[in-house]
Amino acid sequence: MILVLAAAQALTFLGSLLLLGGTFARRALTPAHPAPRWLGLGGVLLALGAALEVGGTLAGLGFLTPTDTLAYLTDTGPGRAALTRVMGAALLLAAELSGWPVLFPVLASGVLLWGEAGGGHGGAHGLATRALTALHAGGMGVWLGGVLALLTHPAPTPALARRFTPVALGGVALLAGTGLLLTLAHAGNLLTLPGSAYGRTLLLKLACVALALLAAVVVRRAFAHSSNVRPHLALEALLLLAVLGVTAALVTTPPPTHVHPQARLSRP
Amino acid sequence: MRFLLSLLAALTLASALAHTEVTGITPAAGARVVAPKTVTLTFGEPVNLRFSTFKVVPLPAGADAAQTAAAALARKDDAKLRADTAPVLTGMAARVTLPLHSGLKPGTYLILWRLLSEDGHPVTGHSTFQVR
Repeated sequence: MILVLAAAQALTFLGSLLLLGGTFARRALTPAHPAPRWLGLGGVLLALGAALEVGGTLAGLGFLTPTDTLAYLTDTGPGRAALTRVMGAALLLAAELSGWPVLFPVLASGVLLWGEAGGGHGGAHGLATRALTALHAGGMGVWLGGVLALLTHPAPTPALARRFTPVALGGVALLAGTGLLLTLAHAGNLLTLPGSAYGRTLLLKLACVALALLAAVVVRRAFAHSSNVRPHLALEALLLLAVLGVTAALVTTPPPTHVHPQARLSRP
Repeated sequence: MRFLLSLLAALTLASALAHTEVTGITPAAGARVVAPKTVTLTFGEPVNLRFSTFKVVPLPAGADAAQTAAAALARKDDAKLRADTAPVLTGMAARVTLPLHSGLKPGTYLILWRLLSEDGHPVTGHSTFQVR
C-alpha cells in the first residue's frame, strides 16, 4: 500500500517536472526546447500518478466501486487535490501547446502546484503549509526542468548557462527557505530528526540536495572552461532525480507530528 | 522578522491540529464493563465517514487481536458476525457512536477502525474491552 502511494508520488513528481519544468524552459530559457512530446509525456505521467494514488488509497480503504471513486474525487481533500492536479496539467499543456500568453501557463502552473501540494502531508497542515509545499515543488520543477533542458539541448552554450544561473539560484533559495519551514511544520524539533524514519529520510534527501549543489558548481566551472558539460549536467540531473525519488518516499512516511499511539498507518 | 515569526506560529498551530487520530474510545482500552449499549470513538478532527470503517467484533480466547482486526476489516457483509448493528455512516464527524446488539455475552470484544486521514493515507487501529 505504502509502496503504491510512493510510486504514485514518484510518477506525479516526474510528470510535474517534465510538464512544468519543460514549459518554463521553453518560455524562459531554451525556446521551443524541449519538444512538445515531452510535455505530453509529463501530462500522461501526472494522470497515471493521480490514478494510481486514488486507486491505491481506495483499495486500501476497501472502497472500489465507480460511485466510491466519484465520491472520493469530489468529497475528500486528497481526492479534490488529485483532480485539481490533473486539471492544472491539462490546462498547462493546452496553454503551452497553443502558445497562449504567459499569464495562462503561470496560472495553470499555480493550479497544478496547488493540486500537487494537496496530496500527502502538504494538504494536512492547513493553507500556509500547502502554499509552502506548492512553492517548494515549483522551485524544484524550475531547477530540474532547466537542468534537463540544458542537458538535452543540441547546443548547450555558456550563454544559455548564464541565463539559467540566476533562475537556478532563485530556485535553490526558494527550496531552502520553504524546505526549512516545512521541516519545522512536519518534524518539529530539528535535533530529533535522526530519531524517526521520517527524519532519516529527510536527512537522506538533504544529502542528495547537497551533492546536487556540488554537481551544479562543477557544471558552472565546466561551462566557464568550455569543456564537455554534458556528463556534468547528467550527474546533476541524476542527483536531482534521486532527490525526487527520496521525496516520494518522504511524503508517504508518517512525520513525527502525525504519529499517535492508538493509530498507525496501514501497511501490507 | 515579524512576518517569519507569524508564519512559524501559523505553521505550528496548523501542525497541532492537522493529524487524524483517535483521541478517545468508550469503553476505554482494556476496560472491564457490564454489557454496553454503544461504543464511541472520538477523533482529533472530523473524518469522512463515507470512507471510514468501524466494527465491533468478538475476540475469541487466545486469538491475536491484530490478526483478528485485519481479518474483520477485510470481511464484507459480516453484519451477523458483528457485535455492533452495522450502521450506515455518512458525512463528516469528530465523534462516532456505534449501537451494539443488546445483551452481549461475557468475553473480550475488539473495536476496530480504518479511516481516511487528512493527508490521504488510510489509518487503521484497534482497541479491546471486556464484558463481564
